[in-house]
Amino acid sequence: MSVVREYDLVGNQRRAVREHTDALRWVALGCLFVVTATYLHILFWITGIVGGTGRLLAVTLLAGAAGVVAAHTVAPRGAAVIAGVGLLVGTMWYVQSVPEGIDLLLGIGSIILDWLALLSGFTVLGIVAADVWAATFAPVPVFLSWYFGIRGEYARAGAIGGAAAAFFMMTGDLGAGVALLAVIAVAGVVGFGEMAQRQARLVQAELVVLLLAAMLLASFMVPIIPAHGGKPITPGSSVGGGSDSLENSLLGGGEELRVAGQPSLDPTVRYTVTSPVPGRWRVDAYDRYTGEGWVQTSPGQAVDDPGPETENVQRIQMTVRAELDGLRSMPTMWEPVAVDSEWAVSRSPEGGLLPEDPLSAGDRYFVTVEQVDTLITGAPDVGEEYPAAIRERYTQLPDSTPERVAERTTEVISDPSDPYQAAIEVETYLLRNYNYSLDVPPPNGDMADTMLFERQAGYCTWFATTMITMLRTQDIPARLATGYSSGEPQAGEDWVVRGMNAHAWVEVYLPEVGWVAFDPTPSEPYNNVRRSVLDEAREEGTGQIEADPVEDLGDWEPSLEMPERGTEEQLTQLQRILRREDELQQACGDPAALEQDEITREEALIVCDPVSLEAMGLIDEPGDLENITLPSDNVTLADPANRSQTALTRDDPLNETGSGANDADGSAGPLGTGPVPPLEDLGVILALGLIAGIGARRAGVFRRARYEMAIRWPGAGRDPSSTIERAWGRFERHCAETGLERETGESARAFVTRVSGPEGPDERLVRLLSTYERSRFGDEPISRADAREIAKLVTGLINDERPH
Amino acid sequence: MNLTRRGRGVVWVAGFAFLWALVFGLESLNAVVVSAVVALGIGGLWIHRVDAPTVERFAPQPGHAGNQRLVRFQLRADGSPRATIVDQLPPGVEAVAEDNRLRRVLDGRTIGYSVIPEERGIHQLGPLEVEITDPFGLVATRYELDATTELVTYPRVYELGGLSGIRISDIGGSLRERNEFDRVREYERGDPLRDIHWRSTAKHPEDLIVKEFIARTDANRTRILAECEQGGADAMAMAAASVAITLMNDGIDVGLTVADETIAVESGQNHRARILETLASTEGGYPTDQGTAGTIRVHAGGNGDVTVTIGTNSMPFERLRRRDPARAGTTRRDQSAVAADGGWPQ
Repeated sequence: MSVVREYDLVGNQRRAVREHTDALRWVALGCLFVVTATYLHILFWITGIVGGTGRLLAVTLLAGAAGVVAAHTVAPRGAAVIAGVGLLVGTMWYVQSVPEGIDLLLGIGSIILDWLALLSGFTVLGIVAADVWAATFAPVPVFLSWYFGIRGEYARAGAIGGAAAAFFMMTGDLGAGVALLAVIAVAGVVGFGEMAQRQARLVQAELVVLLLAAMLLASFMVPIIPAHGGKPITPGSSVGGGSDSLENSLLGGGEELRVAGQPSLDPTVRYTVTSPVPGRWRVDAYDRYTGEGWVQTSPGQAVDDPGPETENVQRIQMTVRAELDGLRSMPTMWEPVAVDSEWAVSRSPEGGLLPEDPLSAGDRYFVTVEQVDTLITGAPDVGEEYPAAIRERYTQLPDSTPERVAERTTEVISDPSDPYQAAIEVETYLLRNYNYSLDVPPPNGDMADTMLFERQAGYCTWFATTMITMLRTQDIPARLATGYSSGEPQAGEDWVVRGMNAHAWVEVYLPEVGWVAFDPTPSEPYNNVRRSVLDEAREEGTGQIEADPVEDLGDWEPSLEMPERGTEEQLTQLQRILRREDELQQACGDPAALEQDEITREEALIVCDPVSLEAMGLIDEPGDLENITLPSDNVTLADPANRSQTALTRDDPLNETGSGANDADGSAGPLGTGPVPPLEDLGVILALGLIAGIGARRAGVFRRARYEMAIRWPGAGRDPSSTIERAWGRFERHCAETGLERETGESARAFVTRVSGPEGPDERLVRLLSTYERSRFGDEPISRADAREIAKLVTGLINDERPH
Repeated sequence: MNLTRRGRGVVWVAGFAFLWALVFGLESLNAVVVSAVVALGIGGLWIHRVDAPTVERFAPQPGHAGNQRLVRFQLRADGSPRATIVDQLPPGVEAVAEDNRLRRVLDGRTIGYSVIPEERGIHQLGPLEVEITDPFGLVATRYELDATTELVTYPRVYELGGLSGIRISDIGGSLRERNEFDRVREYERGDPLRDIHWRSTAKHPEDLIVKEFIARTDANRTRILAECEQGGADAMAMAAASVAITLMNDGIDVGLTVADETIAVESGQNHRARILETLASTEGGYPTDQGTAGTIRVHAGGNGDVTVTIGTNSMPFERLRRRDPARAGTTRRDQSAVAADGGWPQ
């Protein structure tokens, strides 16, 4: 502890110094509090999403209190030991709470990779068991920074707090505004603290204030880091298309899915898929819902998926050809059980296939898929028990999820204990009652709540997210799957998949069955929008929007042995349905066709849209036709010109100068979303005000102003004699300012004579002098009115001699 | 003007943050980079403009070796910058704080710190090294201010309980009984405080009254002759000072002869200071004037063994340091306190 030695000071001086140093010390500790708050608010944001807020609060308070107590009792070495033990205990706690935690400890290489990914902008939300992680992260920096802060080692306190905040700057969780606050506060801890250490007076710390203001201002005004300069180190990220494309939002973010506002659709070709059946070409899935987006928890730690146990499984073989260089994902139908490719493939925690290197145009891979066959054999035989790990991981919801989402869900579903039935009910509810629209701003607040109660419209991400949220309120495990819709059918079994086919849907976990896909997005408007984009692109003829036909596979045989779980019969039945699709679709909506066995119930469920199903009596609930059928011109796809305009008004105005300060955290940062310019404007105004204020003080403006005020607007005294005293005092000060100072021992009379020069005092001076003398030495009290008159007289005297 | 260690650290952090942010597009690191540049830039400019501080030093009070002493000076520079001050200390003089670095603002107020000189001598303090830094301690500029002062350090002295067992009469003087009371008179400068007659003083509040003992005669005067072989000067000075102080405290006037200097037999505070100062700086050796009978001879060998010879009695200095049987009642704490601060008012 730095000992302030004060024996060179005495008495009042020492007390005055101590008052100043105490004040500076409190300012420094206040700054430390701000630093602490910046990184803690990220941790509390995390626990707000994944739970564990109470525990985090407890360990944080405990660590802070321990730091303060230790500062008075423990030497730095002891504190380091305490922090080390805390770190060790925290690590052990975390490891044992993570599935396969011990493996985690052994795999040093993967740990380093994970941390590198985190520090390159991968949100900490993606960490497995993030609630425990938050509770193990917080104590060490809180303890150490407050230990050193209370001890007066401000540089260390600031460095430790700053490092914790910097960690979240690097994970991208701390928005630019809060990051700036943290930096300024760290500088404040050091600047003010060390001034206190140096027994400085408050005024002497004004240079610190000035520098802080300059830092604040410069950080707002000067963007050294260009916006969108790079990407986090994450496997499986990066697809083509503009940064605002739907595809990029869904498939470009790696472990983090940020929901964009008004996404665009890119009509250029990505893949050609050869498959006997249409399907959703799944890329990956997300398990953790933040309320405003999705995160895939830490790579390499998949929950054991027991896989489909039902008999109702069919095997499908498909091939995919990449049509573009640099693609980092390998879409397949769910669930791939074998892959044949010329490059190494790994699997994401949620089952997505990840190529070791980006694909090149023309690369082909072959996938064998096993699909739970719910449509053909009816509702699967669903067990009752979820595996604990599945339930824990896929029923998470942010604490901030509004209650009315759950309330609405209970109205929609009939029996929460039947997840399959519940999923169908929610899916149908969304299909019927909500509109498809790409023209929606980025989320602000809980997406499901916004969709359900405010906007009533959205695109696939919104529909899927809403459905998952609703299911999770009933503790039904569900996750967000992303990938491509089947695309444009070609001759044979080929499907051309374009960027605009990017899609998101829902996977629901059914006990003893596995993950089953549901899609609450209305397909007709979805397809209409894509069709019009494609038509437009074809007219313009820009970009690569067509694919060559896939050459015949010949007698390709899958090189991998696979368990034969599906029956040949089921496979051919499905293939038969799909080959007859056009034919069958004509039968849609006609109850008679159903009766005449032109179409079976199962076939209708596959090929017909909900409206037709209802007409055929296959869906019980009478539907609201306007809500379900959306004429394609009703679907609003933002016009590019319009979009850029709205984007500008939405964004931080400072963006125009290129800072882009809040762009990155806009969609995922805890401090939120959307426009925050008032806060930043406030910062700029504050900084400018501080700089101007201190500059003015340095230039003596305030002293001057106070002086001017005192001379021009004298307050009246309590009684006539003090009013006259004041008036005389002003007169004296005024003379002193013009170079005629009253000397010590000079009588008032002699002073007036000297001041008035050879002509002698004028009438007013005589009056002033005589009244002053009377007031001081006379016996008679002077009337209030006289006194006021004298005050006015002096004001007149002073003003007369000033240039106007 | 140069970067401090912290300044270099900030440069590294800012550089790393810049590259990292550039590669991974982390805009929130902008605040780190810009703030660092601003702090370094403005700090550097400000330091560039700072003038050399002016200094005024005060000579510290003389004192005994091993005693804590206060060193004071004033530093002033425009804008009252924060600074780290290092006063250059000679070997054997240690600052009391764990390090010798004083962190202050240079606004002209008196800056003080404590030192403990381990050895006697006239130690030179200074020059002052002043490192002025910007408000965050990132950029520094150093000034060496040629302001030195002397720290006069007397030898350590020990209470010589054994001395009262020796009959000064053996050497021509005598140890006077303190209660051979003659009369009272007004206090004069140099009178020992222990001679103040408090009861009389209480009756005459405007004056201090001291007891006058029987007339000072030759019996109350003696001379100390201190000599040493090569390397024994410190031991000699310590022993001679202890003997001189013990005698003077007992009211005996003492003169001193060392190798190169002779001080007449006198009394009073100034005289006491002169003796101590001489013993602080002497380099030892054998005086040419070997004195007369009635001289107390202090002899130090090259190995530091000291012998004190009074008349015909010779004894090692160590034996004189033993506790005074007459003061057996005093507590151990009193004794150590006496030993620690030299035992006598200056």
